[in-house]
Amino acid sequence: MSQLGPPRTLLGRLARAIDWVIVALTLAILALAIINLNSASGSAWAGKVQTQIRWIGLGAAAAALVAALDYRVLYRLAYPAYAFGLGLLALVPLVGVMRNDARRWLGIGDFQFQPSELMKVILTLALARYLHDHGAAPGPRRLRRLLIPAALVLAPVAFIIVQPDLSTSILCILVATTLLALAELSLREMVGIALAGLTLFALGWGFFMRNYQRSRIDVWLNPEAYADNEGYQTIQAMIAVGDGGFLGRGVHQGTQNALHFLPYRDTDFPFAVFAEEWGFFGAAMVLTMFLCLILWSLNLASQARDRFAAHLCVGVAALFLWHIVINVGMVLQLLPVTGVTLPFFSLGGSNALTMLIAVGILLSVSRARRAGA
Amino acid sequence: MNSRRIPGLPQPMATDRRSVNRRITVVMGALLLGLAFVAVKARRVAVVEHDAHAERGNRQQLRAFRLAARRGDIRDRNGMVLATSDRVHQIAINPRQLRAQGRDEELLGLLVQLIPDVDQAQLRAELDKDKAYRLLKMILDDEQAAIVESWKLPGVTLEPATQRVYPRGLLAAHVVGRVNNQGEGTLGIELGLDERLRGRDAQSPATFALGKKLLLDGGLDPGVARGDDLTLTLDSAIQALVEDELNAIVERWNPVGASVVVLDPKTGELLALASRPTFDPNHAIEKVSQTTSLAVQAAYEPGSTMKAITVAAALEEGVIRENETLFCEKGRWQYTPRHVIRDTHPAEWLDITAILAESSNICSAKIGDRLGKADLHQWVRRFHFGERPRLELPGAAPGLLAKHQRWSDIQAANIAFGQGMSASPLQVAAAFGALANGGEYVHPAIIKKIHDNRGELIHEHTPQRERLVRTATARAVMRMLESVVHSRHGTGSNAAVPGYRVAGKTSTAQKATLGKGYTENQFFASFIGAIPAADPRVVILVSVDSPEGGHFGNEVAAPSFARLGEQIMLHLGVPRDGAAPPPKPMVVRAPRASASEPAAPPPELLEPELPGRRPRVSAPIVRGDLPDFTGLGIAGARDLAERAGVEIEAIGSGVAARQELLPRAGARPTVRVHFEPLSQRPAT
Repeated sequence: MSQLGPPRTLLGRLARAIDWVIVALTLAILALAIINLNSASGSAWAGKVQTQIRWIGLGAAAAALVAALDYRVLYRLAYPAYAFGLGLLALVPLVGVMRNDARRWLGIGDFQFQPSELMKVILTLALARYLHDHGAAPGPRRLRRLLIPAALVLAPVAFIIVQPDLSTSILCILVATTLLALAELSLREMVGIALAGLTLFALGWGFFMRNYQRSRIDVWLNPEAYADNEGYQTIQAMIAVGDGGFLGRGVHQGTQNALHFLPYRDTDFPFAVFAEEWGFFGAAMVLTMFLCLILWSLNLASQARDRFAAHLCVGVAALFLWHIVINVGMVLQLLPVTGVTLPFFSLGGSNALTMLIAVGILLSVSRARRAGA
Repeated sequence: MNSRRIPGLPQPMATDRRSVNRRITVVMGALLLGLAFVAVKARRVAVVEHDAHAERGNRQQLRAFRLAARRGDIRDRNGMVLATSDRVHQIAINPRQLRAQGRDEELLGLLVQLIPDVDQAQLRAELDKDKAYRLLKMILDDEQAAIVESWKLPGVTLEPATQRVYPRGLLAAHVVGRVNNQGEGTLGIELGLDERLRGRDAQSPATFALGKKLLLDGGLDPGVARGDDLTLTLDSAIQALVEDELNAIVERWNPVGASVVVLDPKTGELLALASRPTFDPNHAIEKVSQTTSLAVQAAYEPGSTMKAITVAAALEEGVIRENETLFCEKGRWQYTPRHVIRDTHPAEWLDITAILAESSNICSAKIGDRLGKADLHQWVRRFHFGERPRLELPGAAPGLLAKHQRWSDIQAANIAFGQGMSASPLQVAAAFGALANGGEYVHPAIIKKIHDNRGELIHEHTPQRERLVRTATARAVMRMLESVVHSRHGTGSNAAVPGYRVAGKTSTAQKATLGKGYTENQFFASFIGAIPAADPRVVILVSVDSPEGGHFGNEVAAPSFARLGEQIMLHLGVPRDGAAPPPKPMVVRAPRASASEPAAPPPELLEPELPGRRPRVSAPIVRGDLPDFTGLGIAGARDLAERAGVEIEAIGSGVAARQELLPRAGARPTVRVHFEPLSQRPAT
């Protein structure tokens, strides 16, 4: 890598310190997401959209703060942050706010947020550190070494699953597993974990799953049979995507969206709205941008100075990846309906804040790479 | 690179970078594959299957949207609303949900607060039902609905409804009718033209969204979903006079029933139609008997009124002459060995005018005899007796008229004076109207105009005329009928209307009871008359069924006729009559003391009474050089002004009370005339 030498001015140094690929991708996605969110909530630039923009502003400030920190500070903060996150999760059942039969929110006045969302990124942080500190040790690899990482994951998941919030729980496990797979596991162990997961799922299906959770699978496989109730959402989403065609109907011109045929337009199904209004072309464009962001962070991981940085990048990439795969898969009827959000596109302050902090982490890692190269 | 472990800081990667990179490459590959899969699926849905999805989307949006039609209005001929529909709200509740959430007591409390006189027990019963949907009975206006909305209670929703309102209440209740709780017409015009009033529900290809938000392509024309508006021939002002008069009749005579028909003989338009007992359409019906419109739905023996028709028929057929005299058997005529016909006023010789004036049954029967059964029957039929009137009012009685082949001799004689057959007051009024209209029968009508939902006139009443007798015949009979009221011997002297000449006929029919024949103490008293006699503007029929404390038509019905006639003439602004002398009835009294006295001194010629108590305006009474308008209706005043060559400026309505000369502006002098309603004038 040829270097032009350190820039002389502060502005120049700042410009070099920032990873413009990440910033540009994030800003582009955010712009489309806000336009789409406004369209999905009535094109009035009011109420929910304004609140979301405020959250994004807060998230951007948090991301800038994280990016300004040396990621090695994050290394030190990993466990205290984990303890803090767990503490917040423990508070939820005690003083949390009930909404739609679920207690997921902590509220201070009008300000409400979901600790489980924040936990996704904190868990990545803690796991990255643990796998850095204890990973790649010489000697035979015993299964026992996975006990502590498993405990790290399952402690918050236990709090989240009783809220109840199955989607976030599964998402945490998927992100953690991805991180473990990339950092630690042998092929045999991966197969073993996959089998264990399937067994657990089968047991859960038989004994623990609520009826609504179980029926979602039926509905997923055969939505037309439930067209008037549980299958309605899926069918309307398919109509929306199909209605978009190649170039889409134009912003706020989508009838599925504007006529309110599609429920949960702004929270769980903004991608359907986007696909209807921007068409296959727009959907592919957004997915490509997300893909670039993920690939870029994996690229950062492969260039990282240390395992911690690599784990962070992989963790953030996994976080985005699984959100996108599950959400888009759900919209396209490739997966059953769950409450997993599409980063930046879905209405939800905690989620936007979390994902922006994740972007901040990428920026921090990237800056260290440039500074230290 | 530093390989030392520094606690608290991440360690640089060592040898396993290759392994990490390899894994990342694998993940990247898998990721690209997965996204390719998503892209393929997205393309299939969005591009390949686009048409199917788009079509399905359109189909669910373009569900036809139904808007229940608003029932059309019913108005009188002057546009006064008699029946209309308010858009109101009803509360639908989900009792199960309310109870499950423990909000039922709260709702009950709020409802009692909102509508203090609500039936709490019934409300409680509805809330206790194990149902998911109950529509509460109470009707809310927009304001109350907004309050209910603001409660934001789960399981409480508002549903649009319409409520039929009859702003004039009892006025013309039988004609207008009523709708039931389902919005179906059950009585009167509401029933007779139910289909038209109801209209068709609007079907609009509206973009429909989840039952919540409605976006209309081009908007739904609110006029589509509404029934036709009806304009009746009724005149509310006249109807109100009639209703008041009927109340007075009920008060004075306590009859079984009573009715009034006011008809414009030239057009057949019914200006007023009312019966007692009656009902208030805004409230539930208490007794079925209240809902019978006696004027239309009940058939009575028309009685002496028929004599006018018999005479008209006989004149037309030439079997009698106008100036002929008939022997009236001194009040008792053994018609068949078993049947005697009697007269109330026994007489020996009566001319045709006197037969009508004195209402001689015997001579009417003689005239009927001259016509013969077949002709009499044919003539009675021609006057549309025995057939259902062609009218939009439901249940109109056709009356009974047997075929003449089946008539016994006495029945034929009876029919000549209006017994042994039956007809509704409406039929009688319409038949009499033919005489009043110069011999042309006009089918009675109740609907004047129909406007469709776009406000376009789709039907207008055109009089259906039918010539029955020559104009001269009809005029002759009308002149004779004037003597009923205006001669000393007339049986209808109480029907005199001040300022106008009346051609009318009393009727006092014994009532037949099923299986018992005619009763001695039950009478059907009526008076029918046309006013002004020379060129009748209205025919008024007042019928009183079984009055208490009196039974003669002249006693019971004629005074009401007179009061109505006077007020209606004022309302219509009909100028008062000039003094055309009525025909003089020739009467030869049957000797009462001894039967041996020589028959009939020369008929005494009687000067008819001057009708009215107030001076008639036969010529302008000059005050200075101006005509005197006081005491005239508006039309009368106009008429006089025309003749006197002055302009008038009319102020107010009713009867002229004062007048003043205005400064001369144009070629003719201008007089300002102040009119006041009759009731405000001091009694004279």
